Amino acid sequence: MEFFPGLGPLFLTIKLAAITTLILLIIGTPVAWWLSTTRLKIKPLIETVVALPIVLPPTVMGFYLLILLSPQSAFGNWWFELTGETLTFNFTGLVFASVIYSFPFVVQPLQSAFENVGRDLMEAAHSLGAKPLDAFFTIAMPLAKRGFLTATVLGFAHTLGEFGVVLMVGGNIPDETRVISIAIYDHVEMLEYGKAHTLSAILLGFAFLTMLMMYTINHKQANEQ
Amino acid sequence: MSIAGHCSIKLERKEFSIEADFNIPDHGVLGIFGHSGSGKTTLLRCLAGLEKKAQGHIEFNKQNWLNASQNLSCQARNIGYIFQEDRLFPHLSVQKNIEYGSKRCISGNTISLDRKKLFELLNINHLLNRKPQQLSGGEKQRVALARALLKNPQIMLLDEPLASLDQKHKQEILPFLSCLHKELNIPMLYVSHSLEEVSLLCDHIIVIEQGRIQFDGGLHEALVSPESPLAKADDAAAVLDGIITKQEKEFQLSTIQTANGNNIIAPSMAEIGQSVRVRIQASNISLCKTAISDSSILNIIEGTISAIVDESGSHVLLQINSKNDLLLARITQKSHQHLELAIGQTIYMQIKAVSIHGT
Repeated sequence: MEFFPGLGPLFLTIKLAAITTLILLIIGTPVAWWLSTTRLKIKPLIETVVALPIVLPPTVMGFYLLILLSPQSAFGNWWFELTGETLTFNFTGLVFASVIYSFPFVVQPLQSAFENVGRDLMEAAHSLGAKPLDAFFTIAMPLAKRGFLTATVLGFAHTLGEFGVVLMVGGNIPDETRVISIAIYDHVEMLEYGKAHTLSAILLGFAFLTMLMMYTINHKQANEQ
Repeated sequence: MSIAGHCSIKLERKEFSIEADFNIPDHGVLGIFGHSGSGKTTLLRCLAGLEKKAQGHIEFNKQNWLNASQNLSCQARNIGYIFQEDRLFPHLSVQKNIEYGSKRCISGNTISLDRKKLFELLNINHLLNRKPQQLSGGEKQRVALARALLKNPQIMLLDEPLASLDQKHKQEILPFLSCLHKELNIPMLYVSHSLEEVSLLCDHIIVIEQGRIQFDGGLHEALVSPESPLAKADDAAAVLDGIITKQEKEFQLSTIQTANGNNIIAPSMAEIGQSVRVRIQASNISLCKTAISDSSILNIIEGTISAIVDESGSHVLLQINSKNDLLLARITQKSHQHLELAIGQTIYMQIKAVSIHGT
């Protein structure tokens, strides 16, 4: 990081967002698929739980996550026994928190994309001899690719801008938990407006470009269909 | 009919249930006829393994598809399914759509279709590189047919494949279906609410109403026996199978000879020597006690009245036997009384050639 003084928080943030998005796509896809196909009465309950991070204040999320991840809790303790590390105030803990915090931003676009694919084409695939996983990878996934793009961009962008939860769970440790939004806050607190400007402008530009890319691709594909 | 399987299904739904027991023939077309909401599509879906809650017993080609302990998944049953809508995969080309099934075909099948011949028969060679969105309704259904057939299924299940098409495209597909059934050695189950489609394509028929089978038997019997629900329909009709023996090219007319020796003149639909099926609607037959010669009507066929059914209202339905070919005629009460018709009487049927349809 010494080559780019002051940009450490930027790289840390990108690393966090990338890892979080990858994990979210792996976990979120089966959850979204299940939600899009299930007829169980429990569905609204699961949907509510998944959507909670959208409406909860980040400090509330952060507070509960802090309790969940701390070595005093059953989960935090199990993790400590397993790895010898605590989950609070370090990078791994941040990944955990981000995955939960950004969960709905990945699951919801995937769910609606899968719902658009519908049961009809999956039935057609089965009637042609495709087993469920085969049909999923050859029919549902390619047809839901716009949903995957939206989910990836939203999951990544949302993790990028996270502040409250990180502050509660990760604190402000350089190169460990000091992500870009926290660094900007610090710079402003210390009246280093120049540094705050640099980081803010990078984040603004990045957010603008990723969203523009997503909408352009979506627009193109919509026109093709 | 020789039997390839047996199906005995029970399915309970809210405010609706199906209970059906029937045999599956080893070749030919079994029509499942019923009005919308009668449960015929659900019945077909049970056979395909698309209804997880189906109960009962299905055995086909010595394989157990459904019993008390298992409900074999759709992909494990060796079927070809044609849905009401084409259900082509929009992200794949026509070629890739067709290969989707053929790549996954269950090995060890005995029938092997010639791909080239099938593409020619269905006339889809020029469509292979297109996307489904670029096809017309009729083309889509033809591609769906090719896709299902090249999977090499042991049975074809067709759920109103013509329902989503307009009359022009229907007339385009019907001959393909009729051809296929002559070319293929596998049985076809054809679900439809159109008496015309069913009578032109099927050999056996099941009539279903409110989830229960009302009639199960040969097509001719179903169409012309006075007790059958099909004879009571407004568009009740008889069908005759025959071979084209003569053609008058200048009038575009063909003479079709039935196995029993009756000659029917109808608009040309195939070449000399080809076997065809014609459908003669009961309301298109008029009756005469003597044979008249100065009529525009080309078909005047002698027969004996074999049954008379007094239909509520102003109509009478007559079953007429001509050299053992059975036809239906529907006339008014008034004509019936005027002509003093009775069973056993000889009568001349007049059938306008232009009213005869066939494949």
